[in-house]
Formats: sequence, structure tokens, C-alpha cells
Amino acid sequence: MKNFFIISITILFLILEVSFFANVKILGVSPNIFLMFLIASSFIIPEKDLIYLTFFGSLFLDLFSPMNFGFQILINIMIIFFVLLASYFIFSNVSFVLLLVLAILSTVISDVFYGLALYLSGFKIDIIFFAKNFLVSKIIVNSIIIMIIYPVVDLGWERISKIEGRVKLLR
Amino acid sequence: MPIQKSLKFIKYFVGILLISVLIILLSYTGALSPAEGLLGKFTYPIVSFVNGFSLKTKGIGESIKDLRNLQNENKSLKDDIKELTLEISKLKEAKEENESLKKQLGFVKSVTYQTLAASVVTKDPSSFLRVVIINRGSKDGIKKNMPVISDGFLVGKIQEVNPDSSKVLLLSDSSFEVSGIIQGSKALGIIKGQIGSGIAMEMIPKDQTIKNGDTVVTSNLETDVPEGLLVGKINEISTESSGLFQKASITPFVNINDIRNVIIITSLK
Repeated sequence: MKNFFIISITILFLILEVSFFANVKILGVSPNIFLMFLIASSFIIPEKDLIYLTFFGSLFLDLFSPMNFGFQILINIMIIFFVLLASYFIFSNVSFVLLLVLAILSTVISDVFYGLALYLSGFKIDIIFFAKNFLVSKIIVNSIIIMIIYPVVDLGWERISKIEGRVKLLR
Repeated sequence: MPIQKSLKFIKYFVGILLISVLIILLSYTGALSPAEGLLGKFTYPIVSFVNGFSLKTKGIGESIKDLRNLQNENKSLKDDIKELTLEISKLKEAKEENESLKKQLGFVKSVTYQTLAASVVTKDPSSFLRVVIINRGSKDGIKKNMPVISDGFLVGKIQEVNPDSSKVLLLSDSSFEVSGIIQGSKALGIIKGQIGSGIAMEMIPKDQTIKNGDTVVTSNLETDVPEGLLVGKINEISTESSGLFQKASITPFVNINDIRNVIIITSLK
């Protein structure tokens, strides 16, 4: 049941990211919903599941990316790796300030690596221009998105855990 | 304790990292193209469906915004129609004269294109590039660098081909380049997408006289792109930083950010 919840919500966010938010932009940018979902989930779901979600979800995003296949997986997996390491060694409890910091850092890292990967794929990219024109908007939008996603995933996970617990007791 | 816990997932990360590096390397060689095509075959129809819905949502929002401008636009369009009707009659006369002169000279060259219609599945969601995915691929005869038009105007070039889908690099992307010519002055230059979203024609010799409103079309210097494809109109002229060339900003004839159906020119007859 937990797996069904997480897979369904992952598919929903992935489809929203590549279709709906590719056309309907907020503050002129498309949010990284999937990445924000992964960061929010890193405090909720088991690490192993998170790694698989990152891999398969990023593989899906790679289908819609002009970069060479695999770059999206590499970028997202590195970000999630550092988020998990930080959650073990630096942060003990999740808070909105922590989510905000992670949203800002991951947006910057993701965009820098994305730009670099595009440059390596042979595209002309002006990272300074994008930093000036889009980065602030993207940070704001992603921060709002993570603040919405975290309670949704947390609440959903908690409720499903309770239901599963009751079912076990009944058995 | 955290070290022991973290060591558990580090092996998964290393494994996934190695797999992603392997995927990137295989992608460079083109070995993953069939797998990418197969994945796309299942996912593109779903995404295309949601994309259609989002375009409708966007359309409703824009319609409300545009209602205010409609009256003024209507007046201006009526004036344009009057001018264009006059222009058409002049052009008809010129066409007849042209055909008669061609017959007299035995001029038989006429260019037609072999085309293929396609629908836009979705766009690249990042702000970095202007790329759209279309539902036609190598199985339909699509090849890299084929020109893509919409409503008769050039909108991009095929950038990547998979068996059932292709990625189109739009005219407004900074990596896009095509040789162009300004109608009237016959000045040659390079049409380039600008960082941001505009389009400009660069490397126009300084001695050429160009003016705002001049039409820009593709030139005959490209092997893949036919000459005479309409691109847009000049709206601003400036001198390039080197001081040797002119640069003209172009307003495209079609809203490149909102294309839904395209036509790919597969070959020239």
C-alpha cells in the first residue's frame, strides 16, 4: 500500500513536470517538482526506495531532456546522495527552514549541472544569463513547491502506515 | 551509528552512479536509441494527453487576458485587410507577368517539398533550451537537421531522432543557426536564436541597406533547408560589437512558444 502511494504520487509529479508545467509556467519558470518531491521524501521513505525512485524517475525525465540519456539520473542521484548524507551527519530533525535550505541548494546545484551537461552535449548555454533571469524565480517556486509537497507526502505516508498497522492487528 | 547507516546506502549510490555513467556512454554511441524509442512509445501518448489539457488551460487564461485587446486589434486588422487586398491585386498582376516572362525564357525550375505532418508531444521543461518533442521519428523517415515549419513558417530543425519520436530545436534557441537573406536588399546573414527567447539575423554586411519591416527568409546556402522559407520581419537594427556587421532583431511570423502541430520537410523534389 505504501509502495502504491509512493509510485502513484511519483508518476503524477513526473507527468505534471514534463507536460503541465512545461506549458503553464510560474514566475516564468517550470518548477522541479520531481526533485522537490525526492528531497521531501528523503526524510520520510526508506533510503533504498528513494534511490530506486530517483533512478527510474530520472530515467523518465531523461526521455524529455535534450541532453544525452543518463545525465538527469546522474544529477538527481548526486543531489539525493548529498541530501541523505546531510540528513545523517548535520540535520537530525526536519524543519521548514531545513527544507527551504535544501530547496535553494538543490535548485542551484541542479541548474548548474544541467547547464554544464547541456554544454557538454554541444548546446550554447549562458549560465550567467540564466542565473540572472531565472534562478531567483526558480528558487522561489521550488521553495513553495517543497513546502506543499512535504506535508502531503508526510501525511499520506503516516495515514497509510496507520492503516497498514490496523490491518496487521486484525490479521 | 550514522556511519554504519550511511554505508548501507552508499553501495546503492555507487551502483546507480556507475549505471548512469554507463547509460551516458552508451547514449553517446547511439546504442540506446531503440530503448529510448520503446520507452517513448509508452510514455509519450500519456504525456501528450496531459499536455493537450494544459495547453487548453493555458489557452483559457490567455483568452481572458486577450479579450481587452481584441477590439483594437480588430480595427487594425480591418485596415490591414484593405491594404492587403490592394497588394494582392498588384501581386496577381506581377505573377501573371512573371509567368509569361518565364514561358518566354523557357524557365522550368519549380521547387516543391515532400512533407510530413506531426504533433507536438511536449516541450523541454527546463528554462535553458527551446526544444519540443514531436510524434514522428526515424520510422517515418525523419532525419537530423530536417527543417520544421508551422503554418508555412520556419520554426526549427530536427535535433535528435528516435524510432517513433524526434526532438526539434526551435528557432528561438541560442544553439539554432541557419543562413538567411533579407527580401528586397538581398543582404545575407545568419539567423540565430538569442539567449533568452528572441531571434536575430547577424553578420549582415554593413554596406547593405536594411530597414524595419523587411522580411527575412532562408537563403540557398543551406543543404538541408530550402531557400525562401519565411522566418519573420525585422523590428530593430543595430551594429554588432565588432563594428563590422549589422544585426537585425526579428519578430517571427508564428508564435514559436505555442506551436501544437508542425510539418517536417523531408525532401526537396
